[in-house]
Amino acid sequence: MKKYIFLSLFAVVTLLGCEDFIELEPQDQLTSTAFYKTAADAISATNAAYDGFQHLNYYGFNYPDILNIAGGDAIKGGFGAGDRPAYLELETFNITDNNLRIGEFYAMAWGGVNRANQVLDNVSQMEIQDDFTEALRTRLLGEATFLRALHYTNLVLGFGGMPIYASVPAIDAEIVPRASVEENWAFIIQGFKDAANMLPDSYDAANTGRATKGAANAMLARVHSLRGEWSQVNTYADLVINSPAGYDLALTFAENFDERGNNNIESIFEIQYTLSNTSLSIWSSAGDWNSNFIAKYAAPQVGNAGWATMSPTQELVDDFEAGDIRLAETVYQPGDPYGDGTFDPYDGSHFENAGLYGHKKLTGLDFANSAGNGFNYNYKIIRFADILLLKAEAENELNGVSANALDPLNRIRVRAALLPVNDTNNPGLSQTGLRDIILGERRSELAMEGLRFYDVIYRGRGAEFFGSRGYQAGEEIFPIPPSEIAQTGWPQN
Amino acid sequence: MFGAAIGRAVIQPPVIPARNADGSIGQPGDVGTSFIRSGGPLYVTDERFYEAEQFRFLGNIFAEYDILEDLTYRLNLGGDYLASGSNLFSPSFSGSGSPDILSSGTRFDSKEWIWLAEHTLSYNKSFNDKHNLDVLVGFTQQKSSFSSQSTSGTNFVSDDLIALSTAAERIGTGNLVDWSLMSYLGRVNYNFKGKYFLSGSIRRDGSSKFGPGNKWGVFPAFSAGWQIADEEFFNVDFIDELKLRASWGQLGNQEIGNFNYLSLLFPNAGYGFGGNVNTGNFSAQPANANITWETAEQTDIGFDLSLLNKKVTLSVDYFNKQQVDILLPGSLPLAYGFIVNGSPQFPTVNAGVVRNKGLEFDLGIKGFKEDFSWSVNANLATLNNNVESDNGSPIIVDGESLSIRFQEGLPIGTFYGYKVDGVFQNQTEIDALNPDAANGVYYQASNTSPGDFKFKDLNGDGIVDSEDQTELGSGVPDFTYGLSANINYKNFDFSMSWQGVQGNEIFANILQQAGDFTKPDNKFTTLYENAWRGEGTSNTVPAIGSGNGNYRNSDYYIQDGSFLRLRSLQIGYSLPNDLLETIKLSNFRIYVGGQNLLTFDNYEYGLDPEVGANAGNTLENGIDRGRYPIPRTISLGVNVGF
Repeated sequence: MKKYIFLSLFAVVTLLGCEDFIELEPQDQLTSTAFYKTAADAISATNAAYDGFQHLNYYGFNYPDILNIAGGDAIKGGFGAGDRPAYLELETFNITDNNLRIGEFYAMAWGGVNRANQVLDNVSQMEIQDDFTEALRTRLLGEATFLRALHYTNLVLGFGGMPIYASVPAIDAEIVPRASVEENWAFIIQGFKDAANMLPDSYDAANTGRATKGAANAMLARVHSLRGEWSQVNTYADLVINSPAGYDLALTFAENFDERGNNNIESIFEIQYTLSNTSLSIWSSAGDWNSNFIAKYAAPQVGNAGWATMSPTQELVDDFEAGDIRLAETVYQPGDPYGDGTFDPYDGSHFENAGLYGHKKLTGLDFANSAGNGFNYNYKIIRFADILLLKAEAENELNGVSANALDPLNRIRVRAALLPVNDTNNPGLSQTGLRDIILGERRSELAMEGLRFYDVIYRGRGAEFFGSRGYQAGEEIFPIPPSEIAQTGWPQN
Repeated sequence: MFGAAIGRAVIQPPVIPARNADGSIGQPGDVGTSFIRSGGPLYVTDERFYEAEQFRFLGNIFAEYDILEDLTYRLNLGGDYLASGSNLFSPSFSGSGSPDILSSGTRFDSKEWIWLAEHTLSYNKSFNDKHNLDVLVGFTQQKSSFSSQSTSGTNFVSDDLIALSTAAERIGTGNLVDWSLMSYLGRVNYNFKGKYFLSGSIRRDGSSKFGPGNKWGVFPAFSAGWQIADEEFFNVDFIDELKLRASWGQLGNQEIGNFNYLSLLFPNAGYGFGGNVNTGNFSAQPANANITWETAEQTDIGFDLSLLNKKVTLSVDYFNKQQVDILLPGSLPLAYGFIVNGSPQFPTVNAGVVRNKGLEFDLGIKGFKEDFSWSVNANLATLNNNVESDNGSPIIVDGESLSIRFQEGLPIGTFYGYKVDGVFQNQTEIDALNPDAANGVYYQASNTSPGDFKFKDLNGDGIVDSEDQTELGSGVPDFTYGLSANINYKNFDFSMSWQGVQGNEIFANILQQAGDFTKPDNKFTTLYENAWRGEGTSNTVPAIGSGNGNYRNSDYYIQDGSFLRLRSLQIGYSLPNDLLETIKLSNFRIYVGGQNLLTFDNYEYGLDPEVGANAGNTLENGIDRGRYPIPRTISLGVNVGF
């Protein structure tokens, strides 16, 4: 009897003894080989390529803050010198190699490139079948191409010539050397052009917010403006202005910056935010960052509403023309209505180093909801007002002062309750004079939208506007994180 | 970083009360400042709640069957069930000067079931009373099934209720992970008359953690021994035993995560279109399809000697261990773009070759005379650790608070950074070093001022930049040593043991808050007092409040980690036997003792030089993030035997 028990035990155990015993599959995560099969998979992969925008370290706060501080629109603000000290370096252009926030931006931009490349690598290989149509594939690849070009734009502006990764590099691949700035721009411009050819003018309601042909053309106008290529700016601005998508200025300036402006008529490309159910979907390790936290970060501390980072500078306030209604929509000044009372920077609870002003533009704060779920205000990466101003500038650069230049400019000014620029108000206006007016107009209209820094630098006026803060030519190119230099052997900037 | 109580105690400005008069935790706002936003140390120790529970069931059965007289089959079955749970609750607090912190809590539960089956066939035989042979072949299988779930909540109804049902917001997650291992093994032990020993073994191990084609590793080992003292020609009276030993062997290591060879998708990458969140998936784990076994190959040569009726024993060993294809968390350029939720993801890699070699000495001496006996044991081990190959690309962990490397020619986990070359005393010194200040070329930075650190320009190009970083030490000691002694005199007994390490460094991470004068936290008094305050006042600590990147990773944070510690000391007294008999006890002893009573070290800033390694990451050794010190305990006791 004993023997039989023993033998049956032996048999049971040895049955398991074949070598597939050590072939296991993950049970709580999909593998990439099981993915990229259906239209839903392809769409999901493409959605993930947008997701990185939302994160705190990128457009969710960090990147706009870097640009707004460097561009002189904002000071670091916040609690004190020890609260995110790396931003202080941008106020004075004493930017050290180890600047943590620049390192975060660098990493996030590459994260965006990687996810776009995952779509381009894999969705392009998927078979056309069922609801995965040729048209859908073209659109998704167009979206990914647009996104990759956008991240590369941020990279080349931030760090100069970067290596070109047209697909996801294998982890054991040879390190690619840095390409030249020109090669980067060529790759970016080609990317936006390809995207413009592949993308639709608009989407149905369920897909609103995806990259469009208009977004690609608008980015082309912006990129060419940074390169001083005004005839191309003119061409692409016209394509946007005449787009079947019907872009136009919103009725009021203010409505662009809270939920009223989500995907409104003025919107060309913006980061989509939805109200998260819980703050945990932001801050936990599985966080999806689907809601907007810039508002919470930048809102004044008064009344424990926000964290008072990215506070407006005196020079920004000073640059608004008298009577410009945008000032009150951009900045809280002492005595302005704020919450249930008035804005008082001397209020004991306001952080002492957040300056005299409060950030209003991106914070349009819903006070009932300041607890931490974030907000559903989309963040506009490019909007129609920008394109009108580029159109005005291109006309002025190409042909001098003319109605073609003044008309789009005055559409912006009229909305801001300012007098139009014309012969009566500005007798003897020269091309140079108009150039300055347009640059000033860009500052007031697009304040805190992360544009001032490169507007000034790439119009060759860095020393003029930023010199007093310590800017010297070349300092717009940030240091690459030292770990990256050590890892790759690339030359540091 | 300084989430724990010790770190908070160090960096909490002393002007903030630990507790206010009303019993609430002191806040920056209570003294009209805005220093840091977290609670002080008492928030962690007294207000925060943590409890963990564990249930473990271990079982083992075996059956043996003698197939022939000397041939035995044995089946061994083992099971290990482990259920763990924990509750963490952090109460809310608010105060002026810093944002409110909502209450939060996490309930975590996991269970793991591991079973093991071992089949062995062994053959054991002596021939002619001279040849002793022991042969074993076997086959083993092991499998683990792990599942966990975790729910976090925030904004609880009350700080007295920690059940998640009272949280206003909840989010949950869970994992389900298996791994399995199987091995074929064989071993032969042979000795001749107990004088000559030979053994050889080989095993073939397969692991689910490696991908197709890389699952299996083969690991042989050999050893030989010679008991010289038993030889007839060996005729030295005072030597009782002299045994020479030599061995060589390979062993596999597969202690890594489960599916590093696969590209896994991260599902929480949703994005809202048209106002609704759409799902998003992307490949977040950079797969390493080639990952395979790490092989530790070790050679040992040594001898055991005992003299004078075993009053003196000495063992000496030389070891040389080479970890080939060492498994480590790798690093990739950030430009490869694998990033989840803001954190770069790195593949686990077979990073290269690490060699550890050294000598071990172990000496014991004992003596006794009537009612006095004593013994002393001393040991010393030298260690030379060196990365022999990093496969052409070093692993670089480089952040705001840490910079370590796995790089050819350096010890594993070498601290890396700049070297401080004193403090600039005046503007002339700064101007003299600036190569071309007029054109914006500075030695360090445009705003370098007297009182700032002067870093060394190691590559001699006239400026200090990231190329001027170098190795600053490591947590690997040159040698470790110990001494223990036992003395018995009449009914008294005394024992002590000392332990020391020498030649290792500590990366005093805690200084990055408590030694950085650009940050508002509390500072170490010695640093404050030694800070530069004008020409000639200090050449070691920069001026208070200066910039210039003074607090980049440098040898400012590196401290000597050597220490010698009185690990334990005990004095006891036992009642004499005749007295015991009258009170009918077999044993009665009272003692007083202590642990960690004395420490000799040069570590100025942490509480304890015994920093140790980060169990989760071999690269992180000797990094002090403000850990709890090892406690000093004093005990008084009575042993009673009936």
